[in-house]
Amino acid sequence: MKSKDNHEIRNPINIFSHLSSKERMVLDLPPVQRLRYIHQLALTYQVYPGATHRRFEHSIGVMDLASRIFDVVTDERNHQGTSFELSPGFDKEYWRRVVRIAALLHDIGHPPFSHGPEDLFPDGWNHERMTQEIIESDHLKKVWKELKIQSNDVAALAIGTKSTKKHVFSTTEALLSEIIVGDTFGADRIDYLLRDSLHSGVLYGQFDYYRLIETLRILPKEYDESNEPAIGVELGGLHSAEALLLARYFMFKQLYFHPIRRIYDIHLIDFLKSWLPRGVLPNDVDEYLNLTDNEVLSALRKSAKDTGDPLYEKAQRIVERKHYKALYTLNPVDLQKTLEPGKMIFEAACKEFGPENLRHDAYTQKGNDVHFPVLEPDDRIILSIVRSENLANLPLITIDSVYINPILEQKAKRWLDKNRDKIFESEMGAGEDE
Amino acid sequence: MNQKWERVRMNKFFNEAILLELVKKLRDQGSWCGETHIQKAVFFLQSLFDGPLKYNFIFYKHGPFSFDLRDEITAMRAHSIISREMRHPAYRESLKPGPSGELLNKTFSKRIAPYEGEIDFIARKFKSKGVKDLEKLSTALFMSTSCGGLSIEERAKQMHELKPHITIEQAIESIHEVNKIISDARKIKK
Repeated sequence: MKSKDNHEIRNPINIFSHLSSKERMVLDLPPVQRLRYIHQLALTYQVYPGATHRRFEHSIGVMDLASRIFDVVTDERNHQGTSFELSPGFDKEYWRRVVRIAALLHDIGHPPFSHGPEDLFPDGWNHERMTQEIIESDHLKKVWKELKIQSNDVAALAIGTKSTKKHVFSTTEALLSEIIVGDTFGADRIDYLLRDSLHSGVLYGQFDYYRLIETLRILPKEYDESNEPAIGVELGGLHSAEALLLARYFMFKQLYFHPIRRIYDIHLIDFLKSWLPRGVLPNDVDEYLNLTDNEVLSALRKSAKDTGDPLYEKAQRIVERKHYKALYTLNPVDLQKTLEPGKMIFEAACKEFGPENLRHDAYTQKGNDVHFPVLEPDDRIILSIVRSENLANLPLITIDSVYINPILEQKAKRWLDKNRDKIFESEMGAGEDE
Repeated sequence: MNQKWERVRMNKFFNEAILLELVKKLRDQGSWCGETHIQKAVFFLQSLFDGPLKYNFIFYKHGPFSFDLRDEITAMRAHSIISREMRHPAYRESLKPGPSGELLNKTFSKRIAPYEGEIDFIARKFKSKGVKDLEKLSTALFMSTSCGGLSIEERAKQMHELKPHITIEQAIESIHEVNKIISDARKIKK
């Protein structure tokens, strides 16, 4: 009997994901299997108990979705009515193999607890660089020959423009990378929104991705006096594209930027800074790959049980849920008064209550994901935000929060209520020029 | 907050103040001032002058592009330092100073003053340029800085190989125009 070359994996969202024997060989490699022990959403399960899913199933999901998107946008029947074609001599079979493996490996360099401890990489390092290092390491060397693909092509597509080594992208490379890690319609985004929504129970993340993928097209941005190609949609898919971007907005507001979820990330960093040798993540590939959530969770539980352990208090904040409480969250009115309201309140509160009792968290949305070309029925191509008022008015997400030790919460709230205006007044105009 | 992060934070606002000034000057000169205009203008500003902006540019679909700068522009919009408007013809997007821009400008006006001349130079050079022209010019500048030892014809050939929609003749024309801009910029520096 001929050996089987089509392997199915049941996977929520994709239902069945299919892999060839050679792809399964990659899946079985230890650096990929390690992703079974990396929580997709760090300590989010402390707030949303169902959010215990791992990077492993997400990676399989991205592989599945990326190849579906690839098949749709490279289908010559879908180029009709547009002037764009992939580069001459485009080897579709080769690049399909690369896209699938790059999608499978795109998160291979994540540290324990995914994005949580990203700031703990040594200078010049991040999870994208680690992904590149692992792809180019001996751990994967043997598979490139088997799969007949180049490791540098895989790295370019898996990391995209965040690569530290690649500075020149061909149009084809840029577009294929967008299929995986693109800001707007990347398979990574489609999968994580659907998967995080499913597991957390935050249903805002659901949208009609079947319709969306069927209508994705490579289109020139004619509206920008340019023929720069980008991944856009046919008009018929615009509502599903709106739904994706609205899902992203709500998921950030409801889940990813949930204040208690965020403070758990900060408490995790506090613990890891003391627990990791030299306070940073290792940049040696072998040492790095030995580190997963399991090792950290084990250390956390051990420290939280021992009152004499120097990390006892830091571990207790997580294990016993004694997290800091939100003292201030950004109010748009305050932004008209000062450039950094949260930071000003944080600094004033540190003077009042001591820096050990305060934490500050600030983040602003990146990218420009509501911009994409839309193909009209008359073959004209227009900008998405012209066609969709929903997208034109989609708010940008920014957070600027201050947290306080729970034993000081009530006292600090009374203090802030009394002093808020005074804090802004005292700092206003005290900028660089003065 | 340690000194390193304090420096990063202040540099971020200073960079945003420079970008805000560039937006203002581009608009004053009659530029469309879309995001691509700002991307290409910043690439020239960084490449021609030893100023404070240090965004990481890569060679992307149509010339130099900085994803860091794109994120900075989004952050400036999120904080109302700049805002966007749709303008005719063809309902294209344009960026303009936002409600919080004045606060930023007030805070950093003295620190950005030494760079006013350089920003003004770029705004005047780019005032009537469309996206296609800017893509060609910035690609030519990218080739000039990365292939310094090559002749104009060799650089034009490389430009055409990298971006086949730019003809050799267009590439040579763009390289000559960039050489003139570089030469004019040297006078500003003096």
